[in-house]
Amino acid sequence: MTNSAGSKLGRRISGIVLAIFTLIWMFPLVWMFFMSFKTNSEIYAAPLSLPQHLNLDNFARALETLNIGRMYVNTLIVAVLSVGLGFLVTFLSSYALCRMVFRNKKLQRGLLRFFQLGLMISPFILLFPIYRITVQGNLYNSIWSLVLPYIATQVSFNTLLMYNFFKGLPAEIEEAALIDGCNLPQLLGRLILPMTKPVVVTVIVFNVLYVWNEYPIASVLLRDESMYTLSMGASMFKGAYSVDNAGIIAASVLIIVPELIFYGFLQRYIVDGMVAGAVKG
Amino acid sequence: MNKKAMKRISGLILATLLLGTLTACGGNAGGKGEGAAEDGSAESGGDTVKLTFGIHIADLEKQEPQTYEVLKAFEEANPDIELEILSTSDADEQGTQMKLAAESGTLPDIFWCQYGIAKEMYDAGYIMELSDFLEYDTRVNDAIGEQLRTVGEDGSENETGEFYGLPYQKLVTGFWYNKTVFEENNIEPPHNGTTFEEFLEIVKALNEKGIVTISNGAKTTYSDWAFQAMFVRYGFLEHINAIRNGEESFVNEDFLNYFEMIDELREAGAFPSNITTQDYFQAKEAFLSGNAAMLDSGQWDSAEINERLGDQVGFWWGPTFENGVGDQNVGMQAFTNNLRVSAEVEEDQAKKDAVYRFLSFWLGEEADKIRVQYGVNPLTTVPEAGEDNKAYAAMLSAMNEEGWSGIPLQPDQIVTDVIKNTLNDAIYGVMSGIYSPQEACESLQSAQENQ
Repeated sequence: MTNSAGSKLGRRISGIVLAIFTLIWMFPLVWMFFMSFKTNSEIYAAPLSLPQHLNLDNFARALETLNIGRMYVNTLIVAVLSVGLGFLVTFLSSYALCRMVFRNKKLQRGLLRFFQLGLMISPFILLFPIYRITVQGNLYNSIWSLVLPYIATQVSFNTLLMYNFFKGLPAEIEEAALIDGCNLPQLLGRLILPMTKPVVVTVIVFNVLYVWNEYPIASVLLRDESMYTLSMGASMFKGAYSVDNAGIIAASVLIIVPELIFYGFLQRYIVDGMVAGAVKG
Repeated sequence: MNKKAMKRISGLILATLLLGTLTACGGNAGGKGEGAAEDGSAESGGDTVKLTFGIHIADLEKQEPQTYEVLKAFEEANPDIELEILSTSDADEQGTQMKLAAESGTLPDIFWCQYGIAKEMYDAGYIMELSDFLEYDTRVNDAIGEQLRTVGEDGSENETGEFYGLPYQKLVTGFWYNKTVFEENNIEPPHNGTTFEEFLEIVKALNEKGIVTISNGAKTTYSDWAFQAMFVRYGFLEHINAIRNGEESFVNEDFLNYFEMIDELREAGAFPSNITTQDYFQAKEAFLSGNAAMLDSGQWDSAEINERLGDQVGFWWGPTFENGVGDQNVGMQAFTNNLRVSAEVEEDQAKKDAVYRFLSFWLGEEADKIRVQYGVNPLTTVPEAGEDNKAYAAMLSAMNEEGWSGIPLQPDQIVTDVIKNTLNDAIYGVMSGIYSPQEACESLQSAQENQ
């Protein structure tokens, strides 16, 4: 067998393997989509079968039960504010940690470790202190009760990616810009920010998905139904001794479709961003 | 349009958007629903008293319509009291929320909370003692006062006469059975008084025909209600206080006999082969679709069962045991005293009056009538079945069976959360063959010693 024939066969095999993995990954989503058209009885009796009819009752019930428009708006507001502010904070702090000359190097390293420490702590362990601070700050049951903890949970991940990315940028470009009369805000806004596009997109995608799906903090800090975010939707179909699985699945489809579209549009940047942010440094 | 102008316009749009979102947030910032106090409790003053009601059901109107209707009827009957419902999605989340709220001074005025957590909160002074309420409402006192004053929520003797929970619901549980399945297979269904040996023969006969006798699902470990009643027939209530005091052990002859009984049922093929991989809701569907002869459940399912099986359903308390302990003619009719009142209510007389009026209504005749309409047992009045609900009528027939009385306490409701979880795991462990009877008893004793 020649080399080119061998590599062609290799490519075919890896293509088949990748196709199989893609199908495995897609199966739960496709299955969920089909199940959203089935009745509760059909789901229990034959969970893997195709729906017998294109039954839209589950979606009608989901829309009737959930104030889905309000939930989308709430989730969007929380996502825009928390991801926007979280990005602003960590963009500036990571740049400062990377480029500022510290007299005490230990302090610099210590600050960096502090910013990244959150990666080792589950935010749910901090639920009680978060709750107390929120109540004392008179923020309970408001959008800000979610925005502030979500910013805090984003800081470590954002710092990890952005600090390492800044490390890999040649300092000469920034020095040249400064010699040409560029001030610090211009340097950050016109030079650094455009260069960090892959990391910015990665950070935004991951954080928006986190905010979109986050349940434990939202379930504790929100009590008023008009403030609910999308992740709270599925819990509305469960009683003490009853559960409407078909309703949950239909609501889940309504909740994740925008997420999939969002991810689909931006996914090509994610690998670039992860590699750029995680390897250098 | 040049680039600079474009940038200015997009900057203006972004600023407007940000302002808009901030305004949207500002409307609710720091507050609860309209009219509620900032600290999460109720406001009183002026002509209207506002009360908060914390409940473990996310969508009350759909998931527990009888409670929703009772609350609605209360508001209609008391226009000077405004009720705000604060929902969580399940019992665990409610427990977590109430603990957090108690320690932050934001407990709802009235709320649902299970015994284990409620006891901790009462001991810490967060929950109000309620014996005073029985003087306020003598009708309730006559109906359930003695039970509340004399028996603690853990089943022990109530030496002080104090209590801090009022009935949320009356838990009537046992086996629903599908008459059609029995008729089609020429097998006589069980009746109240059927012994374990007779029941074992029924199980074997059904098993020979390839029919699952008892539909159960281990993935929802709490769904073992009929087996909780059987545990009482094996002396659970007689032993538990001595076990708590360290005078006895969970590894005793009566409890071993209990778990051996479950093991015998397993060997006879009483449970589904997929018991470990299905949950209660799947088990219920198997029963409703005619794939199992019996369902271990309670009165909350009567409406759904009536809709699917109508008059083809019967209700049975479960078998009696020759080697059992105490009266065998008993069926589970336990109050779950999970309705609590925040201790802060005591400090505000107007609010306390409103809370007492609410509790009076909750335990009153009108609320009971609403419950019965939905096939749910009344709390303080004698139940009568509606003509349409044949399943509930079957349950009432069992409740009114001569010579049978009610078990007032369900074992897993009167123990700590650790023992409760271990008990449920032990029962399902033996049902699925993971535990031997000896191991089931030992796991309970180990949990008792290590909690």
